[in-house]
Amino acid sequence: MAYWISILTEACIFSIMALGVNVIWGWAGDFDLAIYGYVALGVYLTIAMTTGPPVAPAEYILGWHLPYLVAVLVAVAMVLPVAAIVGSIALRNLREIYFAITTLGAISVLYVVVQVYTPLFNGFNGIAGLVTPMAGTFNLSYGNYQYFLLGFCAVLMLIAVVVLQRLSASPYGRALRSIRDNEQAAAAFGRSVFRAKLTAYLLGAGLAAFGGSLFAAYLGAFNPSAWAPQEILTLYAAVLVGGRGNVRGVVVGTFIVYIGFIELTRYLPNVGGNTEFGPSAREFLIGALIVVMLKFRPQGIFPDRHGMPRAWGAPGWLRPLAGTQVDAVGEQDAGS
Amino acid sequence: MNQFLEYVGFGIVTAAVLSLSAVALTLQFAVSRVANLAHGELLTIGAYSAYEFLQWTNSVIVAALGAAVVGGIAGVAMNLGLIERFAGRPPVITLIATLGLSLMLQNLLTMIFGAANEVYSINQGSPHHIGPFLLTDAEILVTLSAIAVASALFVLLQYTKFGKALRAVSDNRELARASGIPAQGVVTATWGIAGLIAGFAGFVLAETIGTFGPTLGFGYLLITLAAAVAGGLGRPYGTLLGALIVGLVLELAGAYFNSSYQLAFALGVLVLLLLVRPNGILVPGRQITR
Repeated sequence: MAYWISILTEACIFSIMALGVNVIWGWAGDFDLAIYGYVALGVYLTIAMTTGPPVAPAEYILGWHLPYLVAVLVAVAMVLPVAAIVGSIALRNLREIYFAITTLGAISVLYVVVQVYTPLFNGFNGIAGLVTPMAGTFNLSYGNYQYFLLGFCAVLMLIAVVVLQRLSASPYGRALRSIRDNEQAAAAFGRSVFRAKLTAYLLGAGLAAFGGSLFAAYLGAFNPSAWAPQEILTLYAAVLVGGRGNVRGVVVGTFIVYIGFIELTRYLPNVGGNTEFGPSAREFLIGALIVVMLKFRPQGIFPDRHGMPRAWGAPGWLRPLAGTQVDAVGEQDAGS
Repeated sequence: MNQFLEYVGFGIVTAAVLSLSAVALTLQFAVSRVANLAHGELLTIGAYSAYEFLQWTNSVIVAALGAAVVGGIAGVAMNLGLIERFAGRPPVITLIATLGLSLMLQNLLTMIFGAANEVYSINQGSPHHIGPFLLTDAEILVTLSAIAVASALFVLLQYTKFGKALRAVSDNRELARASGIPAQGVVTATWGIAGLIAGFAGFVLAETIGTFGPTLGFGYLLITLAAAVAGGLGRPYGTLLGALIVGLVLELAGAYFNSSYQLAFALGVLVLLLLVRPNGILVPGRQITR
């Protein structure tokens, strides 16, 4: 039971991160590889701001004693300028392949700097010490705490879904999709392409950092082995499975990928005494899932029918809120 | 000054290794118009193949050739098994698929060989003074082999019928096919050649670093991309120049600042060039680039 609570909490947290990926890639159409870096910064900053000054030999910045909820907000606010720098460089006149390369560069450099420059977040060893935040405030026992954390993350995830669902159907959501599908046409109709893309990038990065802050409460400790640049692919797999662009679909996709894959691969044996076999097989399958989805069903299980006739497609409860016909142009290839 | 020239010497060696990897990537791009993010795994496969051949025969030449041949086979398999299956799809979709493939191959290699690092037992030879440079036998051989590969590629592209066909396919595959060029065969052969070079590059890279593991190639991908983009993706000669620039920047910045931040310097060069000359250092203009 405790195991399932833990898995569900994790899935709720990853759903929030996947929703961030969905804003940047699903709506704005930018294949961003740096987003897991914002998750990592969110985790690091939240821990560094709540656990107090480092105890030697550990060293890290900040070292404050902020209440957890305040630290979450401050962490998100601190990640946004970083994302703004990366976004305003990468989105100015780079698209598709060049955008992907630049953001891959950004996260690779962040990864190297965090690893090598120990005064930042204690290098390879990482930082630790965030134990059951908010437990004191709400007077929770250790036994109750994990139920509380699950409820807390689930409520925040639902709030994110409702807000994004509104945004998806709003003029802004439609503008983003129209830019994704045909940038020149959207510009000709008076959209500020760069500004729309940058705000989407910041919204996605903010969601990623917010997910990271919750992840900090779940993990309690963090180090570079937890966020290699390849980790982002699991989030992309979740978005691809759920249906790129479809908010509720993405959440379902995240639950399918995280719970399905963790359960499926939990019982893999360690072949030939190779302890890496199980985790590697899982990542191998994530890679295979991405390739297979892209090849055979790029629109996902629950396609985003935004602006399309709603006579067919996802079941009613998964369908996005009322859409319009504005951006039906260019939607023929859901994979573009 | 002498010290500086020695660093330049190391920079040339770094550039030599980098040129092999980057030229292979740019050749793939020239015929398929896709940045292959699983390119690093061709290098890793080459490094492991060389390791196995070295264990087996104890001959460096057999190891180098073995790495190239296995890399070539892997390159052809990658093209036929993945890239061609995504033909006609938007390039960024194929790009994501190659990243998925990269994850698959990294973990397949981990499942087979384990995550621990492997070490070659190749004698590096003693350092010599070559002009102002101070280089070991192994480093000289690496540099010479890269020059040989670049020269062979130049002859192939410039003076053979195949080279002409490759350039035609690179310009416009449909037009080349309509003119009677067996475009499909040229693409496959190019991936084979790129794989040969990448496999060999993997062996050389692992040999110069000393140790390697399943993420050898992925870790080198960004530097390779920086060199290839600096020279202009799909332009082999520009890429050689890009590799020289990035190689020198990496070594000199590493020598005078901190070698741990090599990736950051590579990214600096990349971003600067992308903002000023996104289509390569030899091509003026800064229009929106996809």
